[in-house]
Amino acid sequence: MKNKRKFNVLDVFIILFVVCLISFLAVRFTSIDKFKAGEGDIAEYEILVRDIKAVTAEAIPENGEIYDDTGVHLGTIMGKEMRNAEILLQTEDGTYDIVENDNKYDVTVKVTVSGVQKTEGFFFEGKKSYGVGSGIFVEAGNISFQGKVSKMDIIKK
Amino acid sequence: MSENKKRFNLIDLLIIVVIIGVVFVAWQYLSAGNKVAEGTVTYKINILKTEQNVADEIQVGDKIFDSVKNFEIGEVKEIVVTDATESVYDEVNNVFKTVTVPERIDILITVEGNGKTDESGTVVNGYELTVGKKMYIKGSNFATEAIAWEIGGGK
Repeated sequence: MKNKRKFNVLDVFIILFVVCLISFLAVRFTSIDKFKAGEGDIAEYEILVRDIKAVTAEAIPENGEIYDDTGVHLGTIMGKEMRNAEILLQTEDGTYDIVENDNKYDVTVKVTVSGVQKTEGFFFEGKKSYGVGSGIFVEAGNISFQGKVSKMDIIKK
Repeated sequence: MSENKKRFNLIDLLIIVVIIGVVFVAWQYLSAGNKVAEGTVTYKINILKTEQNVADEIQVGDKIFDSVKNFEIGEVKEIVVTDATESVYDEVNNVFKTVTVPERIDILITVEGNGKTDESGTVVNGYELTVGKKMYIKGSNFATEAIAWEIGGGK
């Protein structure tokens, strides 16, 4: 009884698939700079969190490490500033006024992080970029909040 | 004598379809940003109702990137900053009117990139551009959403 396996079209497709997958992974991951925490450039940046309740504003820590929702290290909190929330209020005639709401708060969180500065932006952990205007989701211990990067100064090494 | 012929069945077909799908998606993903330039395309993008701190980070000569796929889509040639406006309903006078939004600005940026415009549309460095398209852009120190505002001026 002969049991010769023939190389068929399915084998060709599987080989092609594996080759493509390996190529894709190689391109995807070799394009990222190798990065070690504590090395690279430094970004001192601020996250502005608007119009939040006092309980949330007070729960944002004044120090400690923060991460985004994918686990990327966003840096170390160096301090925070709390003030009454400024909101855009539309009046009956359609125009806008800026008013202070003393029941809500705007919080500026100051953060320092190391990363890699490129033409395409500042890459946290060498792999994810945020810049002024970026929306950012932050996990800080027992609290998570959303804000926007409002300022970023890069200190290149 | 028993024959051991393998027959092409439904599972094989499904595997092939999945493989073709994965290869196609990977090819699409990797080919964007690597297309051969065929000329230059000038277009405008508008960052609406943003804040001054974003404008401060954009300079003429900066490279602009697609922040999703991380490839260049042109260079900033001109920046025009204006007060942000909005069409609102005036309940008092029962009319719609345009009002200025305080502390918000629109940033109209003229960008020049490698690409082409023809009857099938505009492609800049592999990035398909259509007027009204929501874009996720970034530069060396900013990242934001923008709208493709105007396309023209290709060579």
